[in-house]
Amino acid sequence: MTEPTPPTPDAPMRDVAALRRNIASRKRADKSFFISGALIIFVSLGILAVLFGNLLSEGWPALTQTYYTKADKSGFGRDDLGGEITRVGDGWTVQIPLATLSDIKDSDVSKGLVGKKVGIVGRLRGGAIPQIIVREIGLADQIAAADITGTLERTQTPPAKPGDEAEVVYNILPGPLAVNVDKIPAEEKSALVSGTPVAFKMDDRVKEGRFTARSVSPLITKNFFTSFPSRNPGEAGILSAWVGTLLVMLVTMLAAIPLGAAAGIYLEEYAPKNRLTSIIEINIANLAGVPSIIWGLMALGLFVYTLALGRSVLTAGLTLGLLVLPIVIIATREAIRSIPNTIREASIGLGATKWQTIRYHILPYSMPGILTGSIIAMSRAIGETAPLVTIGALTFIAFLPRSPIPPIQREISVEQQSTYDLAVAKDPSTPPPQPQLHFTGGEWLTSEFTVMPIQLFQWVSRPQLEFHQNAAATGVVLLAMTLTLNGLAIFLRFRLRRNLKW
Amino acid sequence: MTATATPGNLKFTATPPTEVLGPVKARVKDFSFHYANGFQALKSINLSVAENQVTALIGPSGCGKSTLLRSFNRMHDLYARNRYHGEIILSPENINLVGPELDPIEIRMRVSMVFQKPNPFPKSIFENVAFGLRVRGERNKAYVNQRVEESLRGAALWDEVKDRLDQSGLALSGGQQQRLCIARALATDPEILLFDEPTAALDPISTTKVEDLVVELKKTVTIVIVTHNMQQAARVADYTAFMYLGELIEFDVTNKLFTTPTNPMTEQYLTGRFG
Ligand SMILES: Nc1ncnc2c1ncn2[C@@H]1O[C@H](COP(=O)(O)OP(=O)(O)OP(=O)(O)O)[C@@H](O)[C@H]1O
Ligand SMILES: [Mg+2]
Repeated sequence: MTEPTPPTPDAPMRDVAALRRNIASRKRADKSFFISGALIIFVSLGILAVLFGNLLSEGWPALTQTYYTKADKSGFGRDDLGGEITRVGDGWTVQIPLATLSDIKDSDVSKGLVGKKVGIVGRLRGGAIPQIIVREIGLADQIAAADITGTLERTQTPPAKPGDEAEVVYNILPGPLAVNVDKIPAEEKSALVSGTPVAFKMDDRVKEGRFTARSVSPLITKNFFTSFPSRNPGEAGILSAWVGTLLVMLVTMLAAIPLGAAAGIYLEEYAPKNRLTSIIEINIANLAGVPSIIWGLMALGLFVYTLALGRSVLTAGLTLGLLVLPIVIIATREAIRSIPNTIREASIGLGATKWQTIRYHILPYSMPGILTGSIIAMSRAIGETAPLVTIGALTFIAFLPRSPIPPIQREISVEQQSTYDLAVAKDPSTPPPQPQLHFTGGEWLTSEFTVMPIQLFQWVSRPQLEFHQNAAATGVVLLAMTLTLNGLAIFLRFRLRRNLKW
Repeated sequence: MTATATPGNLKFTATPPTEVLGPVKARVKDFSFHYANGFQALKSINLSVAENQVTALIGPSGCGKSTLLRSFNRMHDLYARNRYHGEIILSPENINLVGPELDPIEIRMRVSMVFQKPNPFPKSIFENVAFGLRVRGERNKAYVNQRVEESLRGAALWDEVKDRLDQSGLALSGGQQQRLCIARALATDPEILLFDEPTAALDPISTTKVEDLVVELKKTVTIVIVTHNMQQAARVADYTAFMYLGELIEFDVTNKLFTTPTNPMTEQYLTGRFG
């Protein structure tokens, strides 16, 4: 032990001021990075908010609104309702006077509807002479975008002279309708002053001298999902698109998840760590970055031409499956890598085989990661357009593929019948064949299809504004689907990982 | 056999291993081990593991204790290109544990291991213990239930967990988790039980419990234990092997090794002058 030495008087003084200057200058760098970083984040968030806001404000009305046309007096058709547009605050409303519906028969049914909210449906259907059917709203799913709704009123004028029949008139009293005039061209908007006569067109033809805008109409949302695409933007819906998306995603899921998980497990648990494996590993990461249209080209060559699978749901599902396979593989591998080696050693150490270790430990513990990755992959696939256009997805489909849930039928097959025919010819006492079970569930796979993003693209490429709003609405639905999937992924991640902490 | 190990400026010679008194369970013969990167972690080890006795492996960090222990149940096979040389002969059949002809799965069913860090599966306490039986296809529920209870009793854990067997094994305290791992290793009724610093992550009370357990368990099973704690080796082990830089320096009855080591290097280590 040495004695502590007394301080030397000429020991150099530490320059505290310089120290502080040094700190201040380093902190300045800190601060400027913080400010620029925060700025970038806020600007990006702002841009994002504007983009989403735009999409929502464009798309939301399409889910809830229908069309009306401004009409010159002469333009009123038999089925049109005239009204006056009025400015109310920032918006516009149209007050429609009584519409006389003399075609309605004075029956018990009609009387029963008096005072109820009703809709007139079927005006666009039925060919040259429009057919008018009044239904009670709520009972009537058939109320379509372009239909009129309001309260039914019955007036009975006493007969002019005794002996004549009383004249019965049914009126529909629509409520005032809020009108969104944002889409009206500026020069026409200036002419749009209170009192401008407008008409609700029941016709899809947009005549010259009219412009179209939207009015709030009470119940339409459901129709958007239950209608096929149509030449009439007010009637057009995304039925074939969302069904197509669902079916294609089903195939994609069935192809990508088992394959991707198996590949990931093989690479992590079985593959020898050699040069070939590392080349494969690098290329899986590369594959994830291949432009999706290239996948479309490859699929066109492989599935459509070589394997002759057609431009079908199956081809589309497999193409998207291949496209997202790398994502599933990478997610699986990451999930597996996060399992500590001590778990493998514990399992192997108890005499488990490699497969038992995978089956009882690796797979269950990596399941949250695999599922999360798979859902992310699905939400990527759901929005893919380019590869599907390349393999020839149709843009206008007014039919649905057959249901993928196998309808099980009992029927006598052609072979059974012909065997029976032969046998009966020889021996008339042969018992008739028994009907056998047949699964006819595979047809949807070979069906033609369209999907949401393609429907969206098709509408956007049309000149009419109404279609653009339909496109935006499709965008909203697609976005909602994707966000739901991502939400599910986040939920699963938290939920399933809760009891897996090493 | 000469050792080239030279701590500081001392040069010592390894003492030839002493034979054990009773029956031998496993005999390590000229055993060397190379890791995948070519590093030789064990150099020509000769050692006898006495049946139903506790054999402790001590020595400074990195001397190869874990490497030797993990050779007993072929844990090194999990990682490619690790190489064994020499033999570890298991009685009574006189089979070579590290021979390529022997299925490592058979060895692991006969030689169980408890690791330094408690590593229960993120499953229920019951399933943790039953796993070894499950993998061999045991379907008899009554038997599995009975073995789980016996093993948990054997690991002195039964009273603490008997009411919550369906709870996650991860919900137990560190000491309980380690005893759960011991129960898991006992469930398959192994012939040899390997412990790699089983109390390194435990508090003194849990440590005492595990130590008592080790002494209790040797009635039914042969035990090899790696420890850094000299007092622990003195308390639980019948035989102790001192290793240094991949070599076995001295092996003897614990009492003798601790009181009158023949090799000066052992003495230096025991008195805390290196390691
Ligand atoms: N996977 C490996 N690859 C290459 N060398 C290794 C590997 N594992 C251990 N080694 C080396 O082998 C030697 C012995 O390691 P081992 O783990 O057996 O030491 P130990 O005696 O158990 O030490 P500790 O008391 O710190 O656990 C060390 O020098 C170590 O660096
Ligand atoms: Mg060790």
